[in-house]
Amino acid sequence: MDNGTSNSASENETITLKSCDGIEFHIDARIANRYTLLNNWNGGESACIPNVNGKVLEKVLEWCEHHINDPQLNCGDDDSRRRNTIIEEWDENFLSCDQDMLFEIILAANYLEIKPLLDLGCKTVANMMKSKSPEEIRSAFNIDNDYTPEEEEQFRKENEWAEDY
Amino acid sequence: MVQTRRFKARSNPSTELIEQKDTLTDSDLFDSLQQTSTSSSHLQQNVNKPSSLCTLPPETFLQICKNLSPADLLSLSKTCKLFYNDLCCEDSLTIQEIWRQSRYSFMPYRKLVPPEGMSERQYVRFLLENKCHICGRKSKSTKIYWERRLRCCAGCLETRMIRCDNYKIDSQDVEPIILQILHCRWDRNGTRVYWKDQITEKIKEIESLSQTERVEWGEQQYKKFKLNERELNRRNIEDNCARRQQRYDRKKIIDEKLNEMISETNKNGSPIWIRAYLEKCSSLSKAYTYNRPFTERSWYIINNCHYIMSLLTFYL
Repeated sequence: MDNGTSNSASENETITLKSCDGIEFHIDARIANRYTLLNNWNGGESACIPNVNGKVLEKVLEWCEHHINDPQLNCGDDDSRRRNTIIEEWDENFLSCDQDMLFEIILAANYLEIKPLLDLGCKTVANMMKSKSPEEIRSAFNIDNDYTPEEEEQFRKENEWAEDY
Repeated sequence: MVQTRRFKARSNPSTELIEQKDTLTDSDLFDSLQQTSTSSSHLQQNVNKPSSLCTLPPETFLQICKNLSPADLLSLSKTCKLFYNDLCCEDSLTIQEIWRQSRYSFMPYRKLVPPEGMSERQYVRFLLENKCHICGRKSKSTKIYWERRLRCCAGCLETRMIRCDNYKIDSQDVEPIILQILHCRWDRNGTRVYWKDQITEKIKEIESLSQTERVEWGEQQYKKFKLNERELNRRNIEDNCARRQQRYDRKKIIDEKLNEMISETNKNGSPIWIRAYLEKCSSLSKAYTYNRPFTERSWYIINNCHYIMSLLTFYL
């Protein structure tokens, strides 16, 4: 299929995507048209997407389907996106899965260049860190504390700009 | 592991500038694709992996950081060495930009650039951490003294300042010029107070000079002082505005919470809380006076006081 025909795809046209573990998904061609990378795979009979497994791809496509009628955001508008930390209710529910899944979705969105989903995922993770102490962040994300007690002590004493005293 | 050098490698000044201009060049894209693939396969293989957050590719990690406030960035940078290395890389423009943008969006009342020699991270740390730089204790009463780039508590300030009455310090005469070229504050009685160490330093400097040299020295120092003073004024004005804004923001959140509380009713439909009683609560009136952001935790503390207070008023 060349680009000319895929752009004018009608509503009930579907394409098939295959996850890396071989699960097939039939999706609306409009979804593929929206996101460049999905569209790139829209070549053969069953395009295989490496690096994204079935479970994750299902989630990603579910999100795409829900947001199929959203207006296209112009990219590079970093500033306005950042200030808007509010997440829609549907999206919040959608991403209230376990943490591994959330990160897998972020990675997949990054890989498939689905920018709005990537932003959403990053925002969700950022919200999980909001007004938390380092200790709380560590336990929330299962981060190992690799500082020795001495280093931590030094950390607390550190006054980089008050050298005179 | 590979991660410790993540941004050190990227911070090469010559490539950094180019990277800044167009962050998504083809090679970057290719890199990110490759990194994604390696880290996601890594995720699948390793069962008891350290943390998904640590294995994210750098650019995705930065994406997350772009949504964080300066205070959250500081907390994150303290969690482990990996993030410390990432976020505290002072010579990476990308990292500096993240801190700067975070400051602009979450502290819009702080628009001035950091003082010379201070990185964006050091600047927000200076603004946010309420620890006294002299005694090291945390205290809500610490203030910033821009002329020394110092934050300290009232007690420590007292020991570092010296009073000056009628050109006399410790009842000894001081060259008038010295008092004109140093930054002074006023104490409660309206007496000038100076930083002790600055005074002694200048006295030492002027001692070895002849009378004519002193005039020249004085002029030079005065020029420098005036130039500096302008910058200090700007910073002090910003401090005042920031304080007012922070207090206003805080009040808004507390009021919202209070209204929420008052609208709560019990089974019979009568309100659980009575505003007049709540407003008498000292912890609440005190809460209004601080500048720091009002968090869920602060609310929890106040809320508990309310509860005790209401019990008291009920039985009295």
